[in-house]
Amino acid sequence: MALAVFSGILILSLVIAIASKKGAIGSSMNDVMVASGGFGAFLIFFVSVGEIYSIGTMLGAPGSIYAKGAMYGTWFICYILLAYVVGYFLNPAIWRMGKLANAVSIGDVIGWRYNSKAMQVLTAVIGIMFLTPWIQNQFAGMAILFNYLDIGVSFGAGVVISSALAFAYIAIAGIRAPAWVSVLKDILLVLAIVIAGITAAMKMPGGVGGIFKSVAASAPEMLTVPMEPVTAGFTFVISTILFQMLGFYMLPISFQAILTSKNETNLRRNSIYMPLYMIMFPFLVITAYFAFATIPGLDKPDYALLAVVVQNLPPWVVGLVAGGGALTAILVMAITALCVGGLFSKNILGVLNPNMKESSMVLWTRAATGIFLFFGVMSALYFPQLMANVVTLAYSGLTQTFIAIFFGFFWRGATKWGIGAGMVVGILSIFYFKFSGVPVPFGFNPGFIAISLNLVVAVALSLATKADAESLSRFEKFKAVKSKI
Amino acid sequence: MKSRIPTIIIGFVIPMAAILLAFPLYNKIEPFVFGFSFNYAWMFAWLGLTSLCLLIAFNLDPYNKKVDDKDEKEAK
Repeated sequence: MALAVFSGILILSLVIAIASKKGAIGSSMNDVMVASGGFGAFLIFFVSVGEIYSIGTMLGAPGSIYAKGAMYGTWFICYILLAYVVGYFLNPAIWRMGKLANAVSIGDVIGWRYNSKAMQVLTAVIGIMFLTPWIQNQFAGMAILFNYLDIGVSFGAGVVISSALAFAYIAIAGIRAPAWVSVLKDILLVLAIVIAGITAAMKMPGGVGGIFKSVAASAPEMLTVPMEPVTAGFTFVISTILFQMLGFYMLPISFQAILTSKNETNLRRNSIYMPLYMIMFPFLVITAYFAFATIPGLDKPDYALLAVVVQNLPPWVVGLVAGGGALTAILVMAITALCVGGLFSKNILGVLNPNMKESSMVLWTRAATGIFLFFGVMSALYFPQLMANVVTLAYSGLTQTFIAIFFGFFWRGATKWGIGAGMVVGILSIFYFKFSGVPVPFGFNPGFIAISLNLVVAVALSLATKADAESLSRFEKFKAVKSKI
Repeated sequence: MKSRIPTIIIGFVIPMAAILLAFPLYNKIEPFVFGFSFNYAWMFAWLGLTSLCLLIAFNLDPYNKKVDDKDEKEAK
């Protein structure tokens, strides 16, 4: 029964992907990557929630709360919530500059603003490098799903089928397929999480209050962020929230979603609804603390939500959760791989070979999407241990582009030398903290230190160098559009 | 153009202050609210309240009005 529901969901998703195809796909990069900027409010909503709420939200969030408590709960909820606040003001500007640059990716926008092919390539390389952990996290989530839920699909088979489906979506209809499939995925994702949360509240004597009272009595340290000394948790949580809320829309996948919009008003309107969609978080938190109180000692904390479902609900619900989880992972894989494919073909190959025809660029995008997924499958099958908790690493690298974007909008004097060197210093300091084992000062998030260094270098070198005439005129052009609106 | 400052205060400063500045004040277990510990109840309340802040900001935002007018003109 579980297998039937699971397979049904995946087949339905493929049908949606085929139905989403609109006319002849494959002729232009703009169409494949950002649907020629044709999405209205409905699809913008789903394409933006589609890629952000990944299998990490469904399994990783309750898993980390189960293992580490409110430090993680507070961090996840607050950074996403405040990212929407930042997005209300930032996204329309991104979109506007994207239009001027005729952009399909973050690499296009940064390359255009600073009039620099090197900046375009640098942004693309950072994007590809740090989206790799993002996609691997989806495979890691799948491993948890298939290993824990015994629905009759092995992890190996599950991974191969999933990545084949992810590739099929992209090959069929570019960004349009994941956008439409996301409607199904997000309904199932929210449904699975709400079912788990309600089950938890109903099984516990005293409901939600019973769950929190019991944790407050047995392990009160799980319910708040440690404040004494401040480096025990407080500085880490606050610096991570600050850092990741800025990085949220710098993820090349979120950036690309912004560019699919028809206009800026829809982007602002979208930011109003996004916090409401976070209604799944109370259910995740309930599920996590219920698992903590009633199912201690799970092999892996990331099993927390699944354990609550398996122990309390019939097989068809297990199939629904498995299908929802797998589809979530597949969808995020598809969007991420497409994004990487575009960065590679347009911002790297296209720069190396300026005479490249658009049709071959589209082919290369598709090929790179496939190759990237293939490497994802291989690494998932042979090096599954590489894939633990890497979202933080993805953010720490991808957020370094924030300075380039922010100064791109507001500071006429920012130069490619300053911005480029800042990004490089930021990335190098991430690796330094990651591999040297040196503790981060004051318990801050390493990415927060990295972006501070990035900022200092960007300002100092920009003041020391002169921007070229073309990038100045592009800045003025951007300003002119802004004042017209 | 009308000032954008009210939009920025309601849509940006208030949610940021409620989550970041008020953090030491709401980071506690009691009192329980609707069964949740106080910090979670506060954060969940701000999911709705942030949305409300952005809705008000959107309606005050001089940028939107202009865009809508322009869209309408283009439609005509």
